[in-house]
Amino acid sequence: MLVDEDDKLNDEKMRGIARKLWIAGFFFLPWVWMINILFFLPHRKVLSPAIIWYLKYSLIGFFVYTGIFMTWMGIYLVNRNKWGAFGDSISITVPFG
Amino acid sequence: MYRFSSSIYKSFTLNINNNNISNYSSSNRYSCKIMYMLVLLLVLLLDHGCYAQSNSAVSQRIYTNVGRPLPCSRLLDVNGQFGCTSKEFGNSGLVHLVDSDASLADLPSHAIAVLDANFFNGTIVNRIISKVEGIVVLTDTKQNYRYSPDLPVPNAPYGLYPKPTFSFNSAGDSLSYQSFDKPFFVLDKNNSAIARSYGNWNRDGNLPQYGCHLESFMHAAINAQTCLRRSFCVPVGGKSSWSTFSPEFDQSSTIIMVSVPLDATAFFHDLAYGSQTSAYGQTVLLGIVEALSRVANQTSTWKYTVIFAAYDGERWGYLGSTKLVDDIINTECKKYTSDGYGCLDPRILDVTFMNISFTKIKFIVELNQIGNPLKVDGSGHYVYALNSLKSNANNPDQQLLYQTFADVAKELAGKVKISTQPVDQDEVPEIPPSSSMAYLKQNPNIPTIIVTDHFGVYTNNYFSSHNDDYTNINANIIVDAVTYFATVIDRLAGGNNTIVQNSLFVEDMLDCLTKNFTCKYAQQFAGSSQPVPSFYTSVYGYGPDNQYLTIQSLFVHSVMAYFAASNRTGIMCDESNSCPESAQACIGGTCVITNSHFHDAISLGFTFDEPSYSWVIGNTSYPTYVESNWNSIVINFYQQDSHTTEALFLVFGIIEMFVVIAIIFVSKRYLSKRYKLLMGGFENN
Repeated sequence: MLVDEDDKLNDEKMRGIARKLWIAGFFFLPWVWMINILFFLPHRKVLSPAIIWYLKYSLIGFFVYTGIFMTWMGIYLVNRNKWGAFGDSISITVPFG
Repeated sequence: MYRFSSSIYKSFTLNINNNNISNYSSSNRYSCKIMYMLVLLLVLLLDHGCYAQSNSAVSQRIYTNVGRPLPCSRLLDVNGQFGCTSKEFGNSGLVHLVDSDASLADLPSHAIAVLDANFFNGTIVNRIISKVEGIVVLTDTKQNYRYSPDLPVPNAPYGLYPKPTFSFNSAGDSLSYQSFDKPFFVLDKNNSAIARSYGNWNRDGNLPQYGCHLESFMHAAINAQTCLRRSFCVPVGGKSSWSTFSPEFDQSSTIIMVSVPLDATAFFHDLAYGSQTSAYGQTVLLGIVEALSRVANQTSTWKYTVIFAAYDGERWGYLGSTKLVDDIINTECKKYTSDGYGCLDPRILDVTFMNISFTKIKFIVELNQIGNPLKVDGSGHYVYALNSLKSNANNPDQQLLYQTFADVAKELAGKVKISTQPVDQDEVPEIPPSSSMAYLKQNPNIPTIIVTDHFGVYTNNYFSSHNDDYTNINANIIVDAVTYFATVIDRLAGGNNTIVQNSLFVEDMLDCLTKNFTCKYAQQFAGSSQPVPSFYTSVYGYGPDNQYLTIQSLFVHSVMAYFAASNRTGIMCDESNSCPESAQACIGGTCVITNSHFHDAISLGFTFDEPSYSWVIGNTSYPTYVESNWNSIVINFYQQDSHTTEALFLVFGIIEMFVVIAIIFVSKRYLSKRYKLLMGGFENN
């Protein structure tokens, strides 16, 4: 049971989770960084500085990555038809229209 | 009661699992939960775009669905796109009926314009298209003026003349070749009447108003090479058919080609009735085959092999005729199959067409657009026009061809009300758009006659329009037409037989092909349940081994094959397999031996790339028409109240939501205090 697991959630364990999620985010998974934040939000009053460090950089990472990603997305969607076959070949699923 | 509430509680805790780690107050905890719920709700709403799933109970309550939506779809070629598409999730707006100049002037922005038949033409559409969300065309009344959405010279780029000078389709405004990023739909008679009543209701200012949602999002865009690369489209094409009474013939046989175009088109492809354009000619061809099938030993009394052909895809650059001609001239088989019926290299399923020698084609007779001759001569005979190339006028065989038509008219003058006259080639210097052009491009000296009902400009008021229906033809003379043309074919082939009319068959067949495609012949020969025949050629298929056969192609092929059969065994069957001999085919429920064949109708501009399993464009001098794919085609109506009412609904809805949240919140707190032991017991589980 999840509830049982939670009984044992102590600082060391929380730091482990925060660190793992922080590392996972580097594999082009900004949502994992966001989940890192969301997961610890209910525990925000009991977090140690080490955990907060991971969370801070998770949040920054999330915004930076999302920013870059969104910009690229915009550039791609606007120009994909101009780029012709190359535009299609760099995409896994080509958007309709 | 307790169990129920605890189960709710449990599901909440699973979502957020924050039970025991805390020294913060319970109210904080609850606000946290509510926040999570709201985020979850928001995500769900965003995900579904606040849009009721089709076929859900909610959707059925909101929308009145139109059973058989008839959209304008998107086609493309190398030069770009034409036709229509909606936005990805459709376009909606209030219904605005346009049935008078005043209502056209009153048209508000962002409405769905519901156009009375008389208000559907290129001029009006182009005037309003930027303003409206979509267009619905009604068919409960008839368009009372001449109109065609096709080109003034149909198929001009792929015809015989690079720069045609004569506009056969003078009423054409090329609307079908324009591109619109708005949805267009046409409604059948019953739904038209309903939409009209909605429009009138809205105009009278009644509440709630009727809205309309149109969804016809097309995947393909830009041009043919782009959408083929993305596999969002498929080449336009189909299946031509040809039949002959001769059980066997070879390269030495002299050939007479008798042909009709099999397909028609329209702005709305599902309503490509093409009654005058195609269906009438097809009926006459089938009538000729049926009539000649009753002539005893026709092939032994004939000197020549007569081939009856129905070409598909002709409206899209003469796909069927061009392909057959090219195959006859250029196909070389390196390795035949063991039965000699097919070819292994290159892969061809049926190689019978290789017995046709292009140089041995003696005559071509094409029944092009023959549905409604208007010219009547002094003795009350309807006069068909005979077209041929001026350059070929001195060819003795061409003169013989003309002579035969005239002789038969004279011979049957007392029997049938049909006559023919050559078109004045000084007035009309070009031959009308026709399948024969594919032959004449290869050899302009083949004696050819293209029979039409028009001397020059089309007399068809609705060429390539959904109004070219059974009211647009002269059904009274079709039996005579069959007798006349069957006699002509018999004489050309060297026979001297008397053709006996079968008016019942011809009239039933015309009824099938123009009005009611659930008729007995359609059931017998194609198993059709389609209410009205539409002769749009549709797509060729995803690949050579994945082809598409339209019901009308199958029908025309089956009827031809049945009546051209050299031996109708009378053995009943279901499929080809159930016939006892491999030479027999199962046609119309009977095993027959027939020399009848399908032939691909696909542009020579396409080649199939096996490794990527996709069509690619090879030669752009041939047509490159492709049709877009789509997911859902929907037209439905809904009711929409005034903005005040809508705002009130929204506000009260939000208030209601918060009240419910508050009740849950308060009662939870109360219950957890009142039944502390039980709740606590659960939490410490």
